Amino acid sequence: MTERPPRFERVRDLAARSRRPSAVLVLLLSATAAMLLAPVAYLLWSSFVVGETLPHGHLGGANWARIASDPVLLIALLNTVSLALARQALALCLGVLLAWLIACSDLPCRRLFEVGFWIALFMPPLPAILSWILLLGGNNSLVSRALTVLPLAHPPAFHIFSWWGIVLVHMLGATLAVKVFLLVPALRAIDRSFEEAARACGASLARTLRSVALPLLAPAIIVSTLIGVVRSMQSFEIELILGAPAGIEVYSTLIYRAMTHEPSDQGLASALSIAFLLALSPFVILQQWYVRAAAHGVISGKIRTRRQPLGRLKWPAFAFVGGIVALMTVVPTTCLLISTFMPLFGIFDLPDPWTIDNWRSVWSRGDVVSSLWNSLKLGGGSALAAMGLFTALAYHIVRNRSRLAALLDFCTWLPTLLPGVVLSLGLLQMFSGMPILDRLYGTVGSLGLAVLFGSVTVGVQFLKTSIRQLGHDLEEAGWACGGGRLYVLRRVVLPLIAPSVTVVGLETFAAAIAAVGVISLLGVGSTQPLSILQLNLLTSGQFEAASVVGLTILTLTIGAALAARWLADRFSLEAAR
Amino acid sequence: MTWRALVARVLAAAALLAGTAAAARDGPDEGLLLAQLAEAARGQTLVLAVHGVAGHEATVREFQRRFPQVRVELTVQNPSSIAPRIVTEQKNGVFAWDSWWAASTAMNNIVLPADGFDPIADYLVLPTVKDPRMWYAPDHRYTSDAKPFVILHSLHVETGVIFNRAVVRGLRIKSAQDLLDPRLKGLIAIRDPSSGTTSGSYVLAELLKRNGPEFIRKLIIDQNPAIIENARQLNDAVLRGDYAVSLGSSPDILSRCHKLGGCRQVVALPIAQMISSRGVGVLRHPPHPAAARLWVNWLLSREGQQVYVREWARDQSAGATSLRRDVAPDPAHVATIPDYAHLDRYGLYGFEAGRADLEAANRLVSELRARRRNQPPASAIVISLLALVVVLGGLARLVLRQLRGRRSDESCNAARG
Repeated sequence: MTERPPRFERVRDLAARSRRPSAVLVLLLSATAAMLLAPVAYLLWSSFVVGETLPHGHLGGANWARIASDPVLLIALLNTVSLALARQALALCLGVLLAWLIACSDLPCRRLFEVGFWIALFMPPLPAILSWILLLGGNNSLVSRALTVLPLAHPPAFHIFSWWGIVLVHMLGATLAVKVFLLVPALRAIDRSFEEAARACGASLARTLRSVALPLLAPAIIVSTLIGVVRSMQSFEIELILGAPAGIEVYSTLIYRAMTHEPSDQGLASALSIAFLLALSPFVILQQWYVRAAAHGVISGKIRTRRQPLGRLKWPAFAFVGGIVALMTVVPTTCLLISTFMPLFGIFDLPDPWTIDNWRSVWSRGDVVSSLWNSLKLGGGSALAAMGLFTALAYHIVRNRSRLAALLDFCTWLPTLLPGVVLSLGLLQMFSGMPILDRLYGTVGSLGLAVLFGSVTVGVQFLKTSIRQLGHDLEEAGWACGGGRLYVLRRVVLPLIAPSVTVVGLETFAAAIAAVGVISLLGVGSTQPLSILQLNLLTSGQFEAASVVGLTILTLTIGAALAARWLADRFSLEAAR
Repeated sequence: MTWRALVARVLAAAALLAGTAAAARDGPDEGLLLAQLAEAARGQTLVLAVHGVAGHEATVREFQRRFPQVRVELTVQNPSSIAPRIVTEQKNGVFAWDSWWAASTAMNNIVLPADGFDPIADYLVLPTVKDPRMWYAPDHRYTSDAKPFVILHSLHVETGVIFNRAVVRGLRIKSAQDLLDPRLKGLIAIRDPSSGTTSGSYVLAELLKRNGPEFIRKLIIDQNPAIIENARQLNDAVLRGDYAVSLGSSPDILSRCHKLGGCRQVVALPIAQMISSRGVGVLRHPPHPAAARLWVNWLLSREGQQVYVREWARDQSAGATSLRRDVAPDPAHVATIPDYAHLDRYGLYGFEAGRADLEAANRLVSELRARRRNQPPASAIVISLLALVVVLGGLARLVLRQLRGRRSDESCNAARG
């Protein structure tokens, strides 16, 4: 009978093994990297096809030459960068403050506000834009009409179709919500005893936040800022609808126009997308270098989570956070709800401006029920797959120090660096060109795969942050007590990151329910989810029916947000026990 | 009795006579032929794309009720959105669609040049459908004479210009030149013509043809119009009074608003009149050819066209007419029937004949739009620069701190060693 190795040697052995790529990991990495690289490789190839696609077109560098010489592209670049930076700067300042108030302070109704931000994150963008147009669009908007009641000669009118209008709608949409969404769990994981020590040493609240909380939060801030910048740069619907009337073009709208122009210019669209990808890649590499080099073990075996008292600032802070949450959720939802009962969207000057016919006609359509079922299948399937796959990827990327893991980490960024509609084109090519995948084309499975592509960056980065925050001592203690790698993973790591895994599942569910761009070329009639039905209703001018469908989507996502919140709370409670 | 009602009654009587004659000649056989086509398509799924307009969906629902043995997989999408998708799919070897029924411009200008259709004649079976004498405007049966792949079944006259009289008090617009009135500066909205197949393109092409490039230059540059992508958003902007004039509007929302007792100050202007044409085609390599054959023949049959006219009239103010001689138009839509003998006097942007005008207008408008692209405001640039400085400063600080930390770790290790 062989003698068991001493306990510290066993721990050292397991720790060393966890840093080496296993056969399973190599297989997982290779398959995932191939899948993620395929659409990018196609786009790189088509960026050198001039004119029509081959064999009608020819190979050359004309598309790239146009990028370098066209002044329109330069202005679009300026607009893209300035919009992204301004939004991120404002959202970061506000987001850190809001997340800290929710996660670390004794703010009243903080749980309710957190759910409010989750709902804001999942607000479908298209109906939200319509709501803001109803409120702030032009001289006869609801706000302008309300302002005329005030005793002002010329009431100040803020025009939503402007540069600042785009910033405002983004801020009150997902931009601010995603910051709070990503930063709150990271803040909760920080040991409060650091802040308490700072306060005990005489530091003010602001200084404690600046000198203690912010540095501990740096990895999460960097990840959320990077994700925010990337998402801002590829943002599309809001710029298209609000920017076009004011002549504001950004890169993603130019790519969209290049693809939808007659004849379509796929070569230019691909070249623009690859240029975009190349421009953003250094940020990704920088982020990877930073988070790999830094130590982030902030959850240890002796965490304290007492909240900071706000004192006299308690109720002003409540009003501030409550006002923002109301602007992000209650206002657009109310506008959306109102519009479902209007015979003509946004037209109030009718003898009888209210009706329930929209609800009747929408639910009598056969395709609404089938689309709802498709959405549920797509959302549920994608969420489950994302929870399993993204957790495995994130765990292996964090715990393995091999170059293969670093390569995979970079690959998980690729889909986010491409605008959704271009990624959809790459996926279409992948589905039609790969022998096994071609059977998936036209099924809900292909849409699910596309949703996973679209969500992989946020999901993996978010889980990586959570896993990095786990101190090695927790796993090492489990190994020292005789637990195997899988046992420790199941009993120690997974319960601790369960809230984050649930959040990722929910985020993927919401992304699937609201997905438009990334699945735009893949969904056909029988597999059409609600989001595509809503888009089709909007583009064909049936805003009233689109509002009903939008409200249905919103109800689904609110339900999911509440369910996930409840699950996250339960997991946290069990982990604490 | 008004002249319109009189014309409607005359047309209805003529249609009845023609229908009786056709039924006497071909009617029973056509019913039998449709039954045979339905039997051949039994169990197949018709994958159909239609224009996102209420009349289309209702007609397809009637087809489904009539032929329950064939399943219909319906995708409702605007032609300018689905056309590039069909071309992209076909270029990548995916042939997912059987048939497409919509306004014909995107069919003719995007999918037809990419060889996206099968010849329609291969699918026509019913004698009255094949016989040109049964149809008005036999010289314009197809969108293209060279490629007779998209067959037309309805033409009507449409104006894409609407005007809200309440926005600029006292302004009257009698001709296109009045659109250049300085009082309209910033108060004109145009449907985005960049895809080349929207109603905004047709109106601009018609204005270019009638008034010349200088007029378009003044319109785009001097009047500084808003460019709006979504047709409904464009309509709403004028109905609510945000803009005074819209170019490229569809008249159905205005018509609904009038029916509901609103929008009294908003009228359609008879500027830039053109032909709106609706057609159907079978896409290349249809996955269910028998179902496509049944659908096309039923839609173009007397029964199918009667259903179309009835359903179209429910929500639309124009266009509930058929090119079939034995199908009566809706009485309220008679005024929108064009002079079939002289179609060339209108803008024909759903046909090959109008394509050159459309392309010329799109080229000119693209050039002019490129001149008026707006840069970010100064306040935005200042905030962005500040943000850039803060972000870069923060990153540099983090990197330096990281490097410093690593260096001190190394020196600690060296001291320990």
